[in-house]
Amino acid sequence: MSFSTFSPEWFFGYDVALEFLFAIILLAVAIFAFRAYKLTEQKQLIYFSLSFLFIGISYIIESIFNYMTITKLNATICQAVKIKSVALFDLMGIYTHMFFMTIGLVLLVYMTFKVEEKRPLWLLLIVSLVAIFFSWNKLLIFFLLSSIYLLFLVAHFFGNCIIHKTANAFMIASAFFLLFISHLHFIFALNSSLFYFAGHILELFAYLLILLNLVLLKNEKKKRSS
Amino acid sequence: MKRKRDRLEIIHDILHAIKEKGNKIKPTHILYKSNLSHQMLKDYLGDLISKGFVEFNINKKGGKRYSLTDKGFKYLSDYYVIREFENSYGLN
Repeated sequence: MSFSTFSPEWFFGYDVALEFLFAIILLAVAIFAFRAYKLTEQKQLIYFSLSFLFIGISYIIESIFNYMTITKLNATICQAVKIKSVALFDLMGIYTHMFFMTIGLVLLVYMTFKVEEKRPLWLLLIVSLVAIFFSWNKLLIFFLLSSIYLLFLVAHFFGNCIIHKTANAFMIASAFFLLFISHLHFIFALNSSLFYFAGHILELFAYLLILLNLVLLKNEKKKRSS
Repeated sequence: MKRKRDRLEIIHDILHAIKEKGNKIKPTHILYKSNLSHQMLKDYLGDLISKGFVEFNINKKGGKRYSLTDKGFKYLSDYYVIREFENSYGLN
């Protein structure tokens, strides 16, 4: 079983491409934040960069494993490395995706606390990972937890919007709102494949907003340099 | 009462002060323009010189002068973009 199990057949391949695109956008933002950190040494930026990096890695893993499922490459690999069960191999992909996504979201939520103390971070991480990996329905708990984290982030970003009142801040708040709604859709995707498709489309709009924000910032940089 | 400046803003104020004075400024002028204590300014300037944003020169008359390097100019041009990035995500 991989995430593609929940996909309608006509969406096969498109989800792979979309997840790869999301990963590229997230990695671009992570690199931008890291460069800003090198210049300013603001700790918030390194947490931010790491969180986007981990979420980007989770999408790359999802994309790769979905691709392998669709092309039956997973069976070939299992034969080559002598893994008896293809389902077990696919599960590794799902678990790795959930692992990295959870770490990324927890880091992002921790960053919004703006505290020096590391213990809340470790507590959130441990509790989240234990809750997911020791539950009977890991996927359901994962999507529930990630929705809660995203809701928390939506509140943070809309609060930020009220403070800064810029188009960029509103774009990011809207992006995270769409991500929250998409994760709610993935909860229902466990029973209906249309929600899987809808979730991906909502994620696409969200990440396009994040990309647009980055492009506008880069254009601003070019204007100031010239 | 003016809010407390963060590190990014303090460095910007120091570099901007140097740039405004035609890229050659006396230490005391930076002190007045940057609105920092002597010790804090000394620490920041030491950090900026070690990181290659600012260079320190002594002119023919023995006067001390600070000037920006290319990296320092880049910081000033990147400052507003980084600030806007931080504002977008509520990082400051």
